[in-house]
Amino acid sequence: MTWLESLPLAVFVMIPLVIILIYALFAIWMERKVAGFIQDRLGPMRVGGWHGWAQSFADLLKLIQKEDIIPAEASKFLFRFAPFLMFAASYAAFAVIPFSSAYMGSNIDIGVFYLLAITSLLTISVIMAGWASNNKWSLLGAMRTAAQMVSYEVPTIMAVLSVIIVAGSLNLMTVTEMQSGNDTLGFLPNWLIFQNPFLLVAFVIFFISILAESHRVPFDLPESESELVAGFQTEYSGMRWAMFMLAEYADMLLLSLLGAVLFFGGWNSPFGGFMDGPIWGFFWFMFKGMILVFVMMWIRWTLPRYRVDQLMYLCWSILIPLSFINFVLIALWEMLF
Amino acid sequence: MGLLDKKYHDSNIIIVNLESALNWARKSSLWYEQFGLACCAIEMMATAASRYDFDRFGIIPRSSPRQADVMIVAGTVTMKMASRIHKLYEQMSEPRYVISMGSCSNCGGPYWEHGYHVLKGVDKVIPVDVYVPGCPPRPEALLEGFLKLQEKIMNESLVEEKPKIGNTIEKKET
Amino acid sequence: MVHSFKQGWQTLKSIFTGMGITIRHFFGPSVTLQYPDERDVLPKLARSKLFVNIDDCIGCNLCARACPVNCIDIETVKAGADVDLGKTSNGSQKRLWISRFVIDMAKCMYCDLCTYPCPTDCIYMVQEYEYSDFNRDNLVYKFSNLTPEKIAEVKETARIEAEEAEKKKAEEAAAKAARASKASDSRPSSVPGAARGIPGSAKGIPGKAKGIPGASKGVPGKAQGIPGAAKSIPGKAKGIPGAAKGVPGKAKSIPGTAKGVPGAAKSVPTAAKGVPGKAKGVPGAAKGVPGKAKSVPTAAKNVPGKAKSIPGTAKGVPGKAKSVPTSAKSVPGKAKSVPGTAKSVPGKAKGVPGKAKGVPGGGAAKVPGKSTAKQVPGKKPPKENKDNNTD
Ligand code: SF4
Ligand code: SF4
Repeated sequence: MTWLESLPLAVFVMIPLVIILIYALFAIWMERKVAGFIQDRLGPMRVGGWHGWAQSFADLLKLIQKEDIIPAEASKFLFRFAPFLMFAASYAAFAVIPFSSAYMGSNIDIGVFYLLAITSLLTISVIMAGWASNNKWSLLGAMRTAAQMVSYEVPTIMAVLSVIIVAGSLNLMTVTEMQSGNDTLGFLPNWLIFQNPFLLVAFVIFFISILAESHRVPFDLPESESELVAGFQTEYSGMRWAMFMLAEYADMLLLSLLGAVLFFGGWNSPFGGFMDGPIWGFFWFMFKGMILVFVMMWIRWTLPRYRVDQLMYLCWSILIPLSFINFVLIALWEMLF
Repeated sequence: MGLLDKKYHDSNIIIVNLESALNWARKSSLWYEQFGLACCAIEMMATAASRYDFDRFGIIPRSSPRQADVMIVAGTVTMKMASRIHKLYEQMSEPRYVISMGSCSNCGGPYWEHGYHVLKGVDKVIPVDVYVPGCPPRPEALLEGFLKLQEKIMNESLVEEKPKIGNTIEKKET
Repeated sequence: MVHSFKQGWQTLKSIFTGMGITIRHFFGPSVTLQYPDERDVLPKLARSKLFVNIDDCIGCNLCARACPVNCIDIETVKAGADVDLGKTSNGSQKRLWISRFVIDMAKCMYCDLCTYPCPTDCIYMVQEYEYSDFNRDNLVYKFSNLTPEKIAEVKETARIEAEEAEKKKAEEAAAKAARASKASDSRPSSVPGAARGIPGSAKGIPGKAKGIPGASKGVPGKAQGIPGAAKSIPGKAKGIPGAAKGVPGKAKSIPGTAKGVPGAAKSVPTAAKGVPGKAKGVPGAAKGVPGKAKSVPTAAKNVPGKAKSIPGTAKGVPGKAKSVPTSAKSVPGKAKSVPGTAKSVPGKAKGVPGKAKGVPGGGAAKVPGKSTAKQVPGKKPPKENKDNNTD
């Protein structure tokens, strides 16, 4: 293969990257706007004109200019490597997300399994960053993150598994395709969330868990300013820190999109055949994902932060038992109907 | 200073455009170090809150000095705090700016004469870019301080300043 | 179990309530004031930047004295008698050039205390709060409208006038002294006061008294010879005002004593008055009781040895002071060496209001350092106690 022949492939692979970058710029601006509106403020107003639309560009351009500090006592290689690993992990997971009926990075049959496995790399990169910084806040933040992500992976996986039972496939494209149509109760779309009452519970568990997985409030303990300065990011400046931010927002999008695929019909239009097709499919898919992202932001600016022990209690004593029970109930429901 | 600051010896149209773009980015995204020292900090919080809203200017707090661009010294700088402030300043990454907010940090304020415990102006330990007078300054005054700072940032240059003739300091071989 | 469910339900309920509130605010109006484009109207009494209408300022310095921060610095120069500086808007006559009126707004704490005392209401707060600066020196506001040349000129004029006035005074003083010496010579009997210190002797030896006044006037050396007399003289002092005037030089020599012996002051109020130290601080007082001063100084000279031993007493025991006034007085030497002591005594002086009246005791207290210096010309001048300057 010459480089010319591989060009289409490169473009093909880059599509999620473009999506992530545009999304991140937009989401950061949106987050600040949401925060502003919820607090009766306005959020960015002056940068770039209309409602500060250029705010994220300014932030990005500024971060590029910032001095790149590597602490003298840091473990240099790991310190440099961690942000890229983190971003690479979130980016790689996008390979199995069906953005529209026409585009999916890699149509593999173990898509869900791959996705869950690769996002576990995030934990490793966080620990790497925390350890390499040689800073107590970083290390504490990283340990918390690891504990939190490992714990919440269990309810996430259980919730995803319950969907898989209903859908009968690990391939996310297949899962999406089987949700097309508008037959439930005669008018509702055939989305999985409407297929099984217990999937509603599964969705709640899933949503809470992805909040914790992507370190969003009320589970943002790894970065809690009041106690840990900035958690594992404490020592990072400039673009390296921007990579963390990017990875975090990408992670948020990834998990929201996963939720959209598993529960809300992926790229299927809510109106059956109306406004359907690959382009509309992409629009609907992103739209659903962004709704979930918005809810995450909404929660962020509403709720206070959990305490560490409460966080663990919620996971191990409530969500995990509940998800197991729910799993069994879903299986029973599927057997009966 | 920043990435390319004073790296060029001559100016041309590309550099001028790049310069204004970079300056624009820098002035539009002034993240401030999240800490306060005394009563001025309350006013700083008020500025960040709904009524005056720092975020309109793209100004948000960052709790780690590594990611902060500007330090608002809001309040009385006691002798004990002075060394910490210096440390915090050193931890910030370039380009970094300092706004001295209120009389106390400007020059010791009411303590300038007899305050045995107060630093007579934070500029004794770190370089200050803008002095905001007031005791404490109104939130508008602080915002105006930021506008002044933005003005200053817009005047920064990528081009190395030409040493003025007659004003050069010759390096002596030792 | 039931409890857990209840708790879970409450958690969910509160989460949804909270989210309901935030979403309502999300769609609600914002309260933000878009500052550079919109501005608040400040309340009428808002405290911000100070402004001085220098045309109305009479240079009374009241604002600077009211300022708890000492950030107002005013310097005035007296205008010559023939210069009319005009009137302020409320009709007061201006008599001072204001050569410097500086307010350091970087130090100001916006307490507004300076605006109330102003008799002409010319210092006030303006509603301006946006004046941050890149350079702190620009926050020092200068209000004087005189040019440097003008200031130099008025200062020069004032200096010349002051010199002339001083000359005149000196001449007058000399004339007075001449008169006084005459008076004392003619009225030796006026020295009965001495009797008090040595009550018995005083009474009994009026003759001595007579003899002594002369000495006190012109000849300190003589004083030494008649210590007893000196002590006894307080009462007399009053009686012999004329003499006092005549011997200003003596007065100076005694200041130390005066300070040192507050008690004495009481018993010998006149002596207290005489205390040169006071003289400086309270010139009026000094003038009034010069006679006393004279009488006591001699004593001081006479008993130098005593002086040393007694200073302590003077300080601690005002009552005692009375009994040992002479010794106190006589201790000029000590006074120098024990400046601290000297200082402590003025308070006592105050304590004896009766005497004080004649010669504001307070005055003595104010100028302890100086007075000592004068009295012991031979010795080193005592250190001036400067105010602690924290700079
Ligand atoms: S407002 Fe207060 S601190 Fe300021 S000059 Fe007046 S008296 Fe002094
Ligand atoms: S109180 Fe008023 S008149 Fe007096 S010096 Fe101050 S400003 Fe001038």
